[in-house]
Amino acid sequence: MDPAALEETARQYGDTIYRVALQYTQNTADAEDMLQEVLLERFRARTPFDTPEHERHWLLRVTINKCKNLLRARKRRRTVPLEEAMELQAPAEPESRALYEAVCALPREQRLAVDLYYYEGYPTAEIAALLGAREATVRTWLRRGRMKLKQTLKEAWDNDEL
Amino acid sequence: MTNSERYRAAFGHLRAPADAAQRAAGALEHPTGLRRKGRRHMKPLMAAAAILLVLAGAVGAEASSGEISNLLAPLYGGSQTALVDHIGIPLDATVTDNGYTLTAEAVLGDRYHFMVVYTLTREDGEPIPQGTTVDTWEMTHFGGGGGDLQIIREGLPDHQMRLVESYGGRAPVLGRYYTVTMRDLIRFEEGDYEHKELIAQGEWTLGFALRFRDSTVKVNLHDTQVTGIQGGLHTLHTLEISPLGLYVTLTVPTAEYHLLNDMETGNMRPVLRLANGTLLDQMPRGGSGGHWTEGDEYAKAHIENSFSYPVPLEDITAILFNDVEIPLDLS
Repeated sequence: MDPAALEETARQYGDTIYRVALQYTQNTADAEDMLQEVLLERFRARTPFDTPEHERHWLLRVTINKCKNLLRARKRRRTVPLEEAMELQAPAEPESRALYEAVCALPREQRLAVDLYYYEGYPTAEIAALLGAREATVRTWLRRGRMKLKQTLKEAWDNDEL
Repeated sequence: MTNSERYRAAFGHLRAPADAAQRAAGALEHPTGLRRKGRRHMKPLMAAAAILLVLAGAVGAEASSGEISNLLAPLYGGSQTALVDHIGIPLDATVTDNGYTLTAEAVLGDRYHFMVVYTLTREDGEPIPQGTTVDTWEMTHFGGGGGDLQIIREGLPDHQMRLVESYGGRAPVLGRYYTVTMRDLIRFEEGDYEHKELIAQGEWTLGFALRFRDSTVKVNLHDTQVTGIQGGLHTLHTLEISPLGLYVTLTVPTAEYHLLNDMETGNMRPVLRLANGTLLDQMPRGGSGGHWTEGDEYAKAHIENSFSYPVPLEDITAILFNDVEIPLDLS
C-alpha cells in the first residue's frame, strides 16, 4: 500500500475509526493513538478488499480489537496527567448535547452497539461480528441502551423496534 | 427527525485529527512493523523509506556545543555533554500569558521516551517565588504512557525557572506531534500538598513535532528465560536501548504480570552492567504493560524504563533480569 493510499484511507475512514475508538475508550488521546495504529495496520495489510464495505468492516474490527487490548494493558506506575473528558467535545445545541451525554453515560457495550447501529447503520448480525459477540447479546445491548436513552431523553428519542 | 438523524447530529462533529495519515507515516520509523521477505516487499519498504527520508530531513540543525547539555546540567550533573548535544534538537516554541512566557527550548529522546526542556520567564523581571510549580499539566497521550515534570531553579536568575518534562510509554513517539498545556502557577505550603497558593493564573499551550536523533539499537534476546520471584518462567524477546532508556518485549505468566518491573522487590527489573564493572539500576521512571485474553496462562508484555542520566551505548556490556545476565555488544 503506498502512502497516497494511506492518506486516502485516513480521509475516507478516519472519522469513523476515530469516533468508534472514542466511544470505546472515552479518551481523545487514546482514540487518536488507536486511529494511528489502525492506519498502520492497514498500511501493512496485504489482504485485498473486494468492496469498500469489506474494507470498512475490516478497519472497524481492527479498531475494536485494538481498543480491547489497550484497555486490558493499563498499568503505569507514575502519575498520568488529567485526561481530556468526553464532555469537552459535547455539541453546543441542547438537544444534541443531551443525546451525546446520554450515550456517553451508557455502559461500553450498549454505547458501541448504539453507535454502530444508529451512526454506521449496521444490522445486529454485523455488529455482533464486529464486537465478537452473539447476535442475541447485541440485541439485548441495543434494547437496554434504547430503554436508557428513552428514560433520559423522553420525547427526544423515539421508540423504535429492531 | 429519526433516531439515526438525531444520533448523527449529536456525534457527527467528532473528527479525526487532520494529520492522522502523516502521524501514521511518522510511526513507520519504528522498524519492527515491517518485515523483509525478498523483493516482493521492496516496494512498500521503499515507499516507507521515502517517508522516513522526509521526516529525517526535517530534524533541524544540530545543537551547538553545550546548547542543550547546559540546560540539563542540573539534572545530569554535567555528564555526557557531547552525547546530550548530539541527541537533542533545539526548539523555539513560545507562548505568553498573564506576563509569563513559556518557551520550549529543546527536545531529546528515543523511540519510546522523550524529554522536553522549557524555560518559564516572568516578563516584568520580578522574582518567581521559590517553590512555584505548575498546577495542572496536560499532554498528548500516545497510548499507555505517562510523564512527570521537574522544576529546576539552580543557575537561573530569580525571574526564570526551568521545567523538564519526561515521558515514556508503550508506543513509539518519534516523529509524532506533541501538544502540552500547562495551567496556573501555584505553590504548596511547606510539606502540605493539600493547600496551595495561587501565584499566577495562566494557560500556556505549545505544540511541536517530536523530532530528535534517535540512537535506539534493537537487540534480539533470543527468548532467554528468567524465573520470576514467584517461580514463573518469563521469556525475553527483544531489547530496544538508547542512551536514554530501554524497552523490552517479553512473555510473562499472567499470574505474575503485576510483579513486572517491580521497584519494591526488584523482580524482573532491568539492570545494566557497565564496562567499568558497575551496575546501573537507577531507573526512576518506567512502567510496564501487557495484554492477554481471559484464561490465558501467559501474557505478551513490555517493560520500559528511562535512565537517570544518559549512558553511551558502548559503555553497556550486559543486561540483567533477576539472576540472569545477558551480554550485550552495542558498539
